[in-house]
Amino acid sequence: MSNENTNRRDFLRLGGVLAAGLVGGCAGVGGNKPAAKGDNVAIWSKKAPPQYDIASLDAPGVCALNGPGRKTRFPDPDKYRNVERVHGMCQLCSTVCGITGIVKSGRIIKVEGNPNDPNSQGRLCARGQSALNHMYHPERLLHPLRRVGKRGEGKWKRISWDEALTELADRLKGVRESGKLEEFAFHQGRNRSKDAIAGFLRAFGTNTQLNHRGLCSAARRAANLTYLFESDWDLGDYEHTRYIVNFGSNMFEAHQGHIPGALRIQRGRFENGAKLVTFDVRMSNTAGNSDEFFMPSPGTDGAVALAMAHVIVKEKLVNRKFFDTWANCSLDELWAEIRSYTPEWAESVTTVPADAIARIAREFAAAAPHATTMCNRGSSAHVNGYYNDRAIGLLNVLVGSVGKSGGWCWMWTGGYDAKRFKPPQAAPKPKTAAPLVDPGEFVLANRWNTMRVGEIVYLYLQQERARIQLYMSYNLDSPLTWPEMDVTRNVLLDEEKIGFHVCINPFFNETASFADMVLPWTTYMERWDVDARGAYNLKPYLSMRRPMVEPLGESRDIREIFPELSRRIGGGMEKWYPEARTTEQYMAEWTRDVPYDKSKYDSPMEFLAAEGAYEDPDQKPYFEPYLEPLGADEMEGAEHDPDTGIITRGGKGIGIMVDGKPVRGFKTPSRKLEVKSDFVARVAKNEDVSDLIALANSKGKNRPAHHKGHDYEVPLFPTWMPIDEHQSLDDDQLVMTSFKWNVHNHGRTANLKWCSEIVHSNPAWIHPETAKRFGLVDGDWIEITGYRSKMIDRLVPTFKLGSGAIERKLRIPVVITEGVHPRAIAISNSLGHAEYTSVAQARRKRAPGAPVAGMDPNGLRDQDWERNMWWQDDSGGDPKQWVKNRGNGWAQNQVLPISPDPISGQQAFNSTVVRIRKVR
Amino acid sequence: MNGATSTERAALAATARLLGRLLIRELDEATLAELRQPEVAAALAAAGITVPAGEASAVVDALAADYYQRFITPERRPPLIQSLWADGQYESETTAAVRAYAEQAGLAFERAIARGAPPDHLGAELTLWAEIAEPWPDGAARFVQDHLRWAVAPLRAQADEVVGDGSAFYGEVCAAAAELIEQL
Repeated sequence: MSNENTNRRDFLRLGGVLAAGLVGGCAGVGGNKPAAKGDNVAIWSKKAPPQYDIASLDAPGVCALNGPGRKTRFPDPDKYRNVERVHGMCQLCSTVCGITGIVKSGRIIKVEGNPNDPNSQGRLCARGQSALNHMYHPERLLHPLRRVGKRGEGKWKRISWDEALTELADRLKGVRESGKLEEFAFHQGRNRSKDAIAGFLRAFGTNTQLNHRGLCSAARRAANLTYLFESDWDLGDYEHTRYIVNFGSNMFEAHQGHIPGALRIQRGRFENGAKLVTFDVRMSNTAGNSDEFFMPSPGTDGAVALAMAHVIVKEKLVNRKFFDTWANCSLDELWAEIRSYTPEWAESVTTVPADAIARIAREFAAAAPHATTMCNRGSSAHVNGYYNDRAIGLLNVLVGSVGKSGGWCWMWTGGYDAKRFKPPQAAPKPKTAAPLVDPGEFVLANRWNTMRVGEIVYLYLQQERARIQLYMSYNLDSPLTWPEMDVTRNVLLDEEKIGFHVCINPFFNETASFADMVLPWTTYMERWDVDARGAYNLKPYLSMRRPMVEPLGESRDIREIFPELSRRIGGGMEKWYPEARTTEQYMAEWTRDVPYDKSKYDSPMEFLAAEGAYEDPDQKPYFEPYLEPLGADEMEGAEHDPDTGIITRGGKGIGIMVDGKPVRGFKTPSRKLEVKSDFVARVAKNEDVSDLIALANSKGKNRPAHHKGHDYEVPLFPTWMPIDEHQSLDDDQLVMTSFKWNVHNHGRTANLKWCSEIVHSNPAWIHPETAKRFGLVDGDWIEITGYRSKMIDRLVPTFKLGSGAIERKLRIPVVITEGVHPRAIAISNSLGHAEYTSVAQARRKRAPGAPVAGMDPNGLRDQDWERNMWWQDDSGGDPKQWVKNRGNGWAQNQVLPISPDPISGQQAFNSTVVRIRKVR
Repeated sequence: MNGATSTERAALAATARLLGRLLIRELDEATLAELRQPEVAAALAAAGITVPAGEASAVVDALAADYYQRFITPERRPPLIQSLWADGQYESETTAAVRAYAEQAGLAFERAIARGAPPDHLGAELTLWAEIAEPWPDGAARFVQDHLRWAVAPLRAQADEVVGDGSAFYGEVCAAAAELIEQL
């Protein structure tokens, strides 16, 4: 193949032929032959008269290149001169902190926190600081690709956007013509462009919008919704609190409210004297930095909470005025339910000392109303997660801290007020049934908002309960992050179950490797969004993501893809996407009502460009919404039930009489905090609850007609539900729990070299007592077998999962630490990629392994990691050769079963019983 | 290229343009037809590049998969983009430096024509050199040092490697491009 003998004469001859114009475009810009039909258009065109001056060609900064282009100034004193600052929002985790990109000559040279963002206030975590790794990653996906081999075989070719959109439109038209609109499924990982996605799916006519809520916060939301009938999470007013009881939340490292929440917790502690007490099965950074830390057995957080409730009631520490006014049951009724949950009982269940539980209960009550609980997956991602979080919520009701300054609060509008700042009109929601979205087995999933049970999607497809003609995955890495890796992979490979798969992502990840077509998505620094997240100021705000620079390569955002696709599909879809409207104009329309200083700016968009975010200075924090008086207009024609105090109008609840005054109350059927929930108990029996929904007059849904009857016994009151399979562990069994690091999210950060250099390896944490039992020392390897849940199998027999072992085993080294409960084994998620760039795979050398002949390995390539990726694992998978802290880690989902909490559908990441054995 | 006549510069520039274009995007049927013209094919063969025979659409399809494996997926090594090889990222200062050359030459980069490639893609660099070779010889000479020499080793590595279905075309293009750069 070599043509080393080619000499100058050959090139001159070739050039002579080409210069004669025999091949279009080769004669140069303005050459003497018109471009041919194909790609024969000049790559460079005339722009301006030339100003040749070789002396002014020094590029700024430092360049590692050898030769005359090499720069010697370091650090460059001019680096931040002549720069533009463009505000945006991070999206490397769900917290979406405000960011500012520093842009120079069309390139982002730094990303930092935006101090104008009212939620994150200029703080930015390690993930966010690694934005440049994300944006300018050498392995970014930049072109549409079409599979040319078998699915999963890894053979691709680049195609044009026109080819991609034409094929997609044809296929989607086919779905429409089949009449099975629900067989177009959109599956999102992290979605911060909700308007765009919902608008497209509605215009198409499908409701099959799959998400990952079941893998995230379903149980916590379900518990909150039981009390409040409102969605989204609780947001403690940590900044003004005096006491936080934290059940397994790792706010300092990873949480939906990570940076804003951690910032306010620390302010509360160091400026307000607040105490932070943490119960967690593992010593997270949050636990380790708490004032007190207790390590309960896995899945027993609810038992601790109920014992605390027991002490508070027994010792008459209840805020009686609050409880009697706002709880929908009497204290006597509640006491009858919780009197058996003594601290001594809790100690026997949790291993936390009874006297400590009682003392914390007393301290918590004494600090009220400036006292709040905090919980997240640590307590909720269990088979009994709903019960845990419901028990935890009770503590706030008892001490009267609900909705109070320094107490347990929530945002009923979500991050920004969508009623005040409405996105441009979109297509109405279709009525198409979506069996994948609304599985019938789960009591509370989909009873309020779309609390979808994401982890059952591939199982349902495997069991042929549904089929997908066209599957559009978006910002999703389910082969790594979903439970039961093999189920996911096998279904993704099966063209009978998924007819066609198009993957939209900024990197070629595991999901892409199972696709038929891959589309390059822009990063959050190259696209538009209006966004905000649960606001720890407890006031809605609005922020904007905007392109800081031109998108790299041929990457496009869905805000460009969907309109074009809709126009090609036609059939009415196109009318929702006016040709003349740009994305920027769409954003301007959305934010047209954002107030701004007219003396400084010409428009809301100009204001948002300058500031990055808007928070209404006149907006009061969302405290005590239940005390909001009902106006005379609202009371006109209203009726008042003298027994319950409930005020209705037209048969629908609007408020409640309190001390003789009509107020809004809670959005529940009782208009009170539903400590006792008829709604949940009746829904669990699949009974008609239309009477309760009318009284709630909010988002609750009655039983859908397509749900098969389920007949669960969900107690009326908070309780603790022991997990069947935890009750009789064999000697070689432990409970596997999971966690996140402070530099990673679940599946989308291992490609960031700055983050992965910090954490790239995730051995299993085992307690020294446990290690002794198994004869393990630090660095030994074990083999893990995961088991499906007996409790789920008992409660949801229609699921047909069984309770046996998962076939795949996981071999992993151990680290011996007292930072984990003796009954537990802790393995982080986020790591163990098989795709998603060589950084995520810790591969310094590329696949062929051969260095490029003639390259100077010390003078070229990326200084950050190409030469410094010291953590590449060269053991070839041999445990005896493995060196600690080398490699890219292990994917826990190999042995993690599909385990949806039967109540909410929450994936029980932290409940899995595993059997371990030492690898000899 | 010291001592080259204007005609020679024009000829080398034309060669650089063709090689640059072949490197920056996949071969299409129209270009394939042009390359198959006997005079062009013979000149290419002398330069070490055999124009593939066979039914045009099948050839183009097969070469597209080959192109993906060689020049797009980072599975084997980074695409032929200088900032990736020099600094391990897109849009490094080498990219800005190429833009600076183009700015001085009064040239605008046609990103869409280049299929979204950055201006420091070797294909873009070869064609930029071709544009400045005649009107700005000093700049062109320095451009070779700053922005073409880096590519010789990766091009040689590509030339020596068999990928995909074993078609020799892109390997030969890489070999020719390496040779050309060394002669500039």
